[in-house]
Amino acid sequence: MDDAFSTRNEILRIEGLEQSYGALPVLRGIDLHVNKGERIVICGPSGSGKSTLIRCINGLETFKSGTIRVKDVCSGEHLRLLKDIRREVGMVFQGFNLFPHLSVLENCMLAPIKVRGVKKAEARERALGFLQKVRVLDQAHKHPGQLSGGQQQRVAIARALCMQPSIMLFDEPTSALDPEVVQEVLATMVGLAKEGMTMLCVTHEMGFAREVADRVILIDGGRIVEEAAPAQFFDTPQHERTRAFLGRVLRGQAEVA
Amino acid sequence: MSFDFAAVINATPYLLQGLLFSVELTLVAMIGGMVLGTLMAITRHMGVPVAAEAVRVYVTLMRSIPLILVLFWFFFLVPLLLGHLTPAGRSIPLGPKFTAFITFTLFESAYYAEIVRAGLKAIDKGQYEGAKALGLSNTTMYWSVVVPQVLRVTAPIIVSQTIILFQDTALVYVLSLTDFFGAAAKIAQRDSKLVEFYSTVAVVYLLICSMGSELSERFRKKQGYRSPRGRFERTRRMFGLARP
Repeated sequence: MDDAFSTRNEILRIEGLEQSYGALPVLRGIDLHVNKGERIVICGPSGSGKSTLIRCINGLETFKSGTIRVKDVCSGEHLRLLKDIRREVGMVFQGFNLFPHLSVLENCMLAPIKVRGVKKAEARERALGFLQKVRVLDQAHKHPGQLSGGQQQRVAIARALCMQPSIMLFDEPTSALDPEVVQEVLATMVGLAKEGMTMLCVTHEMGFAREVADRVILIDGGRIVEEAAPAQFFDTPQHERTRAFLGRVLRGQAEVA
Repeated sequence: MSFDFAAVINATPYLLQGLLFSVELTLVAMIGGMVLGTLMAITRHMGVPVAAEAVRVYVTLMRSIPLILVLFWFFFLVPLLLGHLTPAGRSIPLGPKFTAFITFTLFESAYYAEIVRAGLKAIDKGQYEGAKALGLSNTTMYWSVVVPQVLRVTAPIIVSQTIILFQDTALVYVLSLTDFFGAAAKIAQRDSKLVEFYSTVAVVYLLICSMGSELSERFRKKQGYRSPRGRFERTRRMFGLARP
């Protein structure tokens, strides 16, 4: 399965991923690979399985069959070695999932200290650095509840970055945000991308996809329908379903704008 | 009809001794019960095979039997059972004080376990996911992320339960132990001043318990943090009226 050349460059490889909720198939054989520094955007209608897909990567969902390999850690259906995978995979959630009883700084320091064994002082430096990068440094000693949605999401991004993952997963990071703050979070993500972070992003923000993605993937009915560079994906979609989806989404976004 | 409260004043040192024991018992049972109860709640929440089921049976049992019965059972039957285990076959007496501390702790732990378990379920699922996604171990997740939130959310109910526990400590009367109530009862009967002593005891219990409730109310109001979706959302979710 691995050829030595691709292994060095490849961060994520998914093969034959299948999952069902009871009798209802959600993922019907997904094959996907992501190389270092690539930015992949996944889109699709709701219920298509895109969230399930990325949640399978770090074990928040189990899967029926197939393999997922993150760097050199391979995980079959039995999700062994989950800890090793989660160390390398950072995740940003739609609902932020910040810990409300800890300060912003403590939120960012917790995992490096407990999981990577980083010393407190160093974890603090690292946290402050990433908080500055996402431009919420002045909120470091506040609690998440005192921040706006956009600020909270940026803290969530910093928190994931503090673990220095090999790949960042984003599960509809801006879907729960007020429209005014969506841009500030997207800008942060674009900044990350420009620095070469490997990213796998489920989003409806097509503008972001066009600007940043190396590949855009449409998932529908649990299968990858189309996978192409943004120019081709948006301007000359090959599949009927892609055209239909784009028609709906772009029309919708035009109406809102 | 005249009441002689001077007798109550005179008996204060003895009453205070009894009160000290009541408080001691309450603290031991609360701390021990909370530690044990939290561990049991986590075991059940995590679904540890066998252990989770054992906890379920234990909690159901302890919450179905009156405390007085559990006290008797422990005091009279357990020594007999232990005796059967030893080669000599003689029953091993457990002192009443030891019985009281152990029994109250075990009994209360079942109640605390249910409170904490409800709290664990009420915490937003995203908290667990956020912790897992960061690679936190289960221990760290529960210790640093989940349980602190659970304790804040369930604090008023835990205080309620502890107040009930404090009142229940009067039951050690049946083990001939002298708690606050027992001390008052003894002297009241010796001096035939039932009304004076029992009304004093009632007032003291009232004062202590209402202070406890007041403290818990103040603590609740001091809680400044908000979850990202707000308290109203959280309560709606707790009652299954909103999407998790």
